Amino acid sequence: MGLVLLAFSLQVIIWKIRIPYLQTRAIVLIFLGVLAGSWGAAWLLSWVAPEWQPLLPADIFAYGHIALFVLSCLLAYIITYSALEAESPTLTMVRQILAAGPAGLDKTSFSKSLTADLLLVPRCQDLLRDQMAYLDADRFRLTPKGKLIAKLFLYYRRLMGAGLGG
Amino acid sequence: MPLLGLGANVISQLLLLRWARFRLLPSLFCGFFLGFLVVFFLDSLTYLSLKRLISAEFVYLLLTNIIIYGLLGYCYFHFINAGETGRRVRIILELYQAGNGLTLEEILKRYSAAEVIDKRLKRLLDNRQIFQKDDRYFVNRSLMLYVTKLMIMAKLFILGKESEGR
Repeated sequence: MGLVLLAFSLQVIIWKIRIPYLQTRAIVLIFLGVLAGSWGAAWLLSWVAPEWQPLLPADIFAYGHIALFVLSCLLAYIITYSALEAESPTLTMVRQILAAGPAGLDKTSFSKSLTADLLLVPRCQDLLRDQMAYLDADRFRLTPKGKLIAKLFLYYRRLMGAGLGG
Repeated sequence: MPLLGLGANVISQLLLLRWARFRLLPSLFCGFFLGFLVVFFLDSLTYLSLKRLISAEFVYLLLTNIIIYGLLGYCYFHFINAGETGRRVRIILELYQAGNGLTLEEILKRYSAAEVIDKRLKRLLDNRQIFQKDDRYFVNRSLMLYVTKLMIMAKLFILGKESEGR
């Protein structure tokens, strides 16, 4: 848990200085760096100060268990972070209704504020930034990475008997 | 054990959805619970058959594995959710099905901001997160309310702003 908190604190400090262009990749690097660093520190400590041995992971399975915990936290955090990074339409709608107060909000207010420029154009740009698509003249085309993701979701949605979603 | 639990979660969720005709959300919750049972019983059986006593080590191990399983289950839930509601995934699937790429205008014709709003309004109303009275929308005192407030706080803390626009 300490490693996860350390990685998260490091991320917040870096983000306060400058938010990286590829945010998800930066988070992965921070978490994996902290994990690798802790392994290195534990290995070094076992050589330098053997009296600390009882406090260190006992065997390779214990190291693996710690790695599994950190990687699970990393995956869950990346997924949650994507909702922070991008504008969530559902959260925005709830936020707008809340802001309207006891008078409530009518449907036209949503279509005025939640335009394609806010909801969909940035997501198309995300695909370019994350190298899932590229621009060929003015056409968006999928990269091999984008095609792989499309196949994965299509296969799984077929397995569930579902349509395109969205 | 957490990985076995995740496997049990995924398989039972798909079986419940396709063959037992469960709705998506109940199938996800039941799958998660069945996976939890697998982690709990396999962990308990393995440990007790090896050590034959309940110790602090056992409680620690079980708790850690349950947390790891919970995190992996959360990731699976969001993987399904991304296929259901994710705009990036929907755009990728549109591009994949188009074959020859799409211009931004063609993407917005196939997947409009109005569709994004309508689908989310329906989901929020169906799940009773919001309610409608005289063509105006109001927020129920629901989980969504707290999630929205939590996300706003997290955005302000990490990104220093509460939306992509401001």
